[in-house]
Amino acid sequence: MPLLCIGHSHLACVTRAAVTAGVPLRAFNFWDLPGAIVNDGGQPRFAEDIREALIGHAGPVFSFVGGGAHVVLGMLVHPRRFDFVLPDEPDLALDPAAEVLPATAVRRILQSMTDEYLTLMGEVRRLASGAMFHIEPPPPSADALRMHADVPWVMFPDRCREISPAALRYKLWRLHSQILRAWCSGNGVTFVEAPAGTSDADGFMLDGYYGDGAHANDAYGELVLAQMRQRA
Amino acid sequence: MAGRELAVIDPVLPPPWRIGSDAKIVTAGSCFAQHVARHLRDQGYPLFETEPAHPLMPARLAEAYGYGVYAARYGNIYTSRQLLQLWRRATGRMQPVEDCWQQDGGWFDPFRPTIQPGGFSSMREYTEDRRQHFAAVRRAFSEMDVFVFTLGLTECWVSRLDGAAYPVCPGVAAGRFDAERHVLVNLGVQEVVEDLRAFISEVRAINPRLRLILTVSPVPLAATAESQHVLAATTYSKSVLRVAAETLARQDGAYYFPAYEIITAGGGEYLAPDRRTILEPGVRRVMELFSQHVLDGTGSPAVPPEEDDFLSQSRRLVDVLCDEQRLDPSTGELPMNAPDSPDAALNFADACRAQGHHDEAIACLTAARRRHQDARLERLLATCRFEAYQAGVPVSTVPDRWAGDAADRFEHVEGIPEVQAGELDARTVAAGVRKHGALLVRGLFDTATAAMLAEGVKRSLDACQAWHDGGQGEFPDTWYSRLALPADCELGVARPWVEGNGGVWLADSPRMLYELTELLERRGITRVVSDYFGEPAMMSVGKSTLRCVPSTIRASDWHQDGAFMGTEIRSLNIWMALSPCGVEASGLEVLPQRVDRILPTGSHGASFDWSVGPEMVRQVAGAGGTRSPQFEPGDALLFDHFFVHRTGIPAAISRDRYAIESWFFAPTAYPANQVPLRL
Repeated sequence: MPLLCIGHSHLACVTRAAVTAGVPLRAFNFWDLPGAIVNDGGQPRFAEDIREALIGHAGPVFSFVGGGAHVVLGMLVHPRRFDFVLPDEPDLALDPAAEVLPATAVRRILQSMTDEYLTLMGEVRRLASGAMFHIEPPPPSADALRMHADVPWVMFPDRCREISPAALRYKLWRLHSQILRAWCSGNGVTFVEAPAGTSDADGFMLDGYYGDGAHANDAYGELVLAQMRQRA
Repeated sequence: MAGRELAVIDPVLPPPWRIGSDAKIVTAGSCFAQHVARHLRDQGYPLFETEPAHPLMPARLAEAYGYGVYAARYGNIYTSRQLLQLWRRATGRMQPVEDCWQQDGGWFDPFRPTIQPGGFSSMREYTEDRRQHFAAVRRAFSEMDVFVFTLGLTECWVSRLDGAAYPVCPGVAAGRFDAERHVLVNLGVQEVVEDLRAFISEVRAINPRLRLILTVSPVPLAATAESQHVLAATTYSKSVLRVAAETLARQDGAYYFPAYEIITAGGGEYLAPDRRTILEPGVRRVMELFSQHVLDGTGSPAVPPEEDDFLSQSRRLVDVLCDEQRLDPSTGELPMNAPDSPDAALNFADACRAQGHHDEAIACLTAARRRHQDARLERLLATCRFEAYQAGVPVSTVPDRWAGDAADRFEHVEGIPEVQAGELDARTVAAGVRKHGALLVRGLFDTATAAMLAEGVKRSLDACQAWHDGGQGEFPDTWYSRLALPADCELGVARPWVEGNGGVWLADSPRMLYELTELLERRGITRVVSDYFGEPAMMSVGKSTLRCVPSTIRASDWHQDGAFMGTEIRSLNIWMALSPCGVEASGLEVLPQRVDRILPTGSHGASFDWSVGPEMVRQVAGAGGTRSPQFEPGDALLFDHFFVHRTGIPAAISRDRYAIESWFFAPTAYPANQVPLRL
């Protein structure tokens, strides 16, 4: 039985890795499936073919739903620079030029950006009969220069052309993962952390796994694929 | 008053002045002050906010965290004691012993226990937030034109240890009541008057234009901690506050606005059946009369806050990256209008140069370089920045905007003032440089950026050394690639001297010139410097230097850069520390005062004809002496050509020092021999 994955762009590197390795994998990547999510009275819902596929699948399902809210909030420097103290690790660096926002408020903002995806994950959980795993989004890169080169700045002529300090991006990633982990814990879903050995001592993604400013590459996809096969 | 309609009862005696729509109004006080603030906003008199909600926070979330209610997040201030205490805490004159309550996983501010739902998430968050909050309070009270304070209560709970006053009894909103540590105080007239007199006096010392409007809250007490009926306690409290307000109005120039009298005259029409809640018609009547007698004309229509499009733009960016993930890299197309190729950008820039349109060339090359890391783009950018000035030397003169400006926000600071990067603007630069000799900016860049720049300096110096060692042939890369100066350019002779002393001109490292100009623009620093000059700033080829001072340095000489460049110029050096300076590595030793002339050189024990002798420095320094500030990576010292300084050599020197000197000049007052670069 092929591995069944569903979600957004973080699924791409795993799909490519599976093709390279010849691992059977069925992927519902919403970026390739226009119309896969329909608006049902203000609530997102899967299109019928996806619902049927989930209902008919007896094995585990791997969710890559969402996974970019922390990047949206923190990849680029906001015109009014902000930062926050991560409650679990309060000694992490603060941007000295930024105003410090309440961590609980930042979490509420991030939560509101994640709600739609959590609803979709709830749909997956409801429809699939087997075990469900949610794959943690990859950790951020510390290399702002490299990320800077990946941003199509011409599309954003009025934006401050600066990547946020690495520490802020790391803290947002951690906060985002906390939200996902808490949801998984309350909904019978196993939260799968980023593969061991993909980050440095400070928690940043190792250069060898860098894809672009928001994603990991195929080498990282290989490691996630291995995690999935272990759980299948 | 008998038989008169409420609508015609008007007990207001107008003040001798009125509040204009451009006045900076700050409100504070008990719950009733919130009504005042809301109505002033509705009438187009936006309140002065120094701690506004971040635009990422939706309105309801912001409100839950106490933003937008008053000028800063100080919450309700029920007593005169609390008000005075807030000011003294914000200015460092009071540090309560009982300063933080930890309970249920949160850290609570005893003096605004409900400001953060659930408390602060960590002690660090608490201290960082309070630092910001106090800065906002200082700014609000220092810059306000009108302060509207609503006196609410006389009863307050205070600490037995130091008299610190709490807004509510410890244990009610947070904390734990302890009779050993907490005690009730019921303020009398004299105490209220003395509190407010002290507040007025201390604030007016730095904000002499302050006008004070006092009101007494018409809201009766909900309960009393005294052993008497709440009605009797209300009468006592309101009487004390009313007499205190009258005393201050008669003797201290405060203006009393009779909101209390207006509401109490209305009886049941203005008070809800619970005998406490002020009904909206009552609040409206108070504000009608306030508007009629105190406000000048009509305010500006309330402007809804601009929608923050940051998130929608960021979503678009992430969508682009996600879209690229979908594409096969070998065949995928970029889902955007890709910028011109480097070759096209180079051709376009050359065409612009030929026509003398160097600004267009710089814009085109910059846009292309942001997309493509191409050495040719960086080199041509440096050349265009150099050619731009030669193509259009300014002929007019822009006057020095700070000549005769007496404003000094650091009036009470001795020596070199310090600010955080977020406080940097042209007026702050002027106050620091023109009144105190220099301005120390902490955290101009974060440590990661400073480390990145330090790495760039190392690579530039290494590339320069490799070029010399390799026989001075082709330049190895854009970390070092000399700017082509005309053969008759006098400045050329200085280059070997700079390179022989651990430096490389910034202009000779096209890569670092690109990185630094981008960084300065992104951080708004270029704009601040231009604002300071009153015209677009230019950068110096001959003075802007990437530098590593080795740990082996043992001597340095006092100097003023004006001795080399002349005095009829307008300059600003942003000296950026990229590694820790001043303890184990060299730093700067400075004369911490403004010197408006070039001191004699070559005398008083000077080693060189261009340097200022140590004895001369001692004479000018007087009792204040010299200073050797310590710098963290990312800190910067801003000064101009009159500043007396030298490399500071600490006793424990054992490390190399990395720094960038970036000298800016006003194009219309430029030292001709320094060769400018267009930014």
